[in-house]
Amino acid sequence: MTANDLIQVLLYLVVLLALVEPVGRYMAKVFAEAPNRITRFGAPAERALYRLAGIRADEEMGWKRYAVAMLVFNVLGVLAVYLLQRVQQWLPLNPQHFGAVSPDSAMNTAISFATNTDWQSYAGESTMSYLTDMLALTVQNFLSAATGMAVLVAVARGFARRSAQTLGNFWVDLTRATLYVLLPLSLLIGLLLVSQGVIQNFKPYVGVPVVQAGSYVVKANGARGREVTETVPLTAQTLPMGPAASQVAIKMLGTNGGGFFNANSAHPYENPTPFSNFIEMLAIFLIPGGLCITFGRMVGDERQGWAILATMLVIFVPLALACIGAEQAGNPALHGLAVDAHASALQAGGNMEGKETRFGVAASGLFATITTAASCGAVNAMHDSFTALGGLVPMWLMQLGEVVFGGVGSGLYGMLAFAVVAVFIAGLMVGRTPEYLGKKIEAREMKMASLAVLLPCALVVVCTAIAVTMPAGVGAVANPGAHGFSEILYAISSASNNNGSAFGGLNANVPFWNVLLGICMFLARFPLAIAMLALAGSLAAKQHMPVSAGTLPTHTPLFVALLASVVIVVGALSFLPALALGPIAEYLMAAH
Amino acid sequence: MRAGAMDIVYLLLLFVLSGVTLGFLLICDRLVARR
Repeated sequence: MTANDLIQVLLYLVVLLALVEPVGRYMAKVFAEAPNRITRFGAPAERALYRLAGIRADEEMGWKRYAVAMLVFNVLGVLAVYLLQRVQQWLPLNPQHFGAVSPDSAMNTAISFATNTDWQSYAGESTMSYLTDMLALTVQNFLSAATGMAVLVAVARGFARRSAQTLGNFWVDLTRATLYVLLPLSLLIGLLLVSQGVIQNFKPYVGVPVVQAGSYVVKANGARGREVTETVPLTAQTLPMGPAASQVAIKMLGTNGGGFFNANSAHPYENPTPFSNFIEMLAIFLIPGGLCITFGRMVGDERQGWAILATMLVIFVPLALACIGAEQAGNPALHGLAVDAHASALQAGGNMEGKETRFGVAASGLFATITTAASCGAVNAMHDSFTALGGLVPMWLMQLGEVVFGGVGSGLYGMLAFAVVAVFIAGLMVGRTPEYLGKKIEAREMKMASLAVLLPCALVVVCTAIAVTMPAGVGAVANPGAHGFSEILYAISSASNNNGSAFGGLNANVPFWNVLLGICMFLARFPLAIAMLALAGSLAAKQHMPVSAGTLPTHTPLFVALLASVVIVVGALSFLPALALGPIAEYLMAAH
Repeated sequence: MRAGAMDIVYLLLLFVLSGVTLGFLLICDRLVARR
């Protein structure tokens, strides 16, 4: 690893930590029950929206009602996105005259964007009209992120309230998350991205002559089935256009990750400069990091939020350094071949395959770990081209359950499920009834936390087993052997943890994969949220227990170490066998 | 199969997934119920 790599990671962490506290405190005010300066400022807009939708903002909801509202709203979102894709050929803002998206791809995409996954089996610039991009996909980027924040806020209220039957109002939380947090931050990030050259227009695609004309050879079937080769002159290229910046801003802030273009944040119109890359990386962790502080303030002890944030960093930083280190070390298969893979003034060194030269190894490795630690899924380099160990890190970060920062809201409520498991284990060690944030943790809470922790793990291993035993599953793989298995495992880990990034090399735009991944995304998102709402509902009904000599402090380094260990042990026990068949086997084959 | 028929198949899939999730909600309700 070079000094340049370390400086980039350090700079990123310093700026991130400087921003999470003000953003977290701001969000705590947004979701506060008592009116304050921020909510009073937006009150007229809020009231107008509630009147329009027929919502009674003062009405409180129990956990079941909250969960049903969340589910119904998002299923309607899936339907709307599906229908828009299927009829986009008859709608305006379609200068390229794209036809209807195929039913299986449309359903996969609709579930993907409504679940905050943004797995894309299609190529944006050759499939979606501008209207579909804006009205279906970008709107869902906002609403799915706001849904995650709403569920988190309800879970936080479950810890904070005493002897209560309700967790707040889903519609109010959803509206406030969108209106006060996501919209203003997206506008700011969008403007910053436009200043760097990210495009935002409604122009038809532009044909331009290439700087250096050339040709390429294609093979085709000629007369009597004979194969013929044909030389095609290359004199012009097509530059895709569109309202990219507005979608890119929220895809990062909302940890959605769905690229406007197929190459996602590796595309120069989506991420043109190292500064835009830094802004995009910052935007991914900003809200998930800030929500830790929001949570701490909502439960009345900011130290609790810092402890969770510290746990996330304790897991994230070593894994980020491991990924960058593996990429900077390069492919072990080349080590004995006198290939100079060292960084120097003339070359980035390491493994630059599939990476953009404007970003280099460090910014690509850091982006890959950020986007998979958070459930963003945007990519600025092709993860399929990472070294075996460099590719293992993003895959395992997803498999940890997307709780290391994780999705907007969903990452933190996932981590809270692990926190409940951690205090339970601590309670078992000393023979005391476990408690967390003043609430006694009993069998019913443990059942919900266990379901939330184990559901994504079960989805990954069961669906990977299904995929590798079905001809349609294996047939989509471009590479044989361990790397091909990694492509399958990565895709299912990505969908089953609502990440959405692709390893690549998997032809996933076929009915089998569209359906399998669609089911994974749906079942990973909503049942897990429901389990956490049930847990919150159960906790809200309890009395607060005073701190005693036997209370395990949950804001100390000891608890941070315990919580990080639980996350890592669950991730390791669940996935080491599968990882051994994929990236670990690939590394051993390359090294020896 | 024609696209119209496939639309119905995929909408049915969404319906089934929603039903499974609602069933999961009922199971959670039973599991957290106070006796």
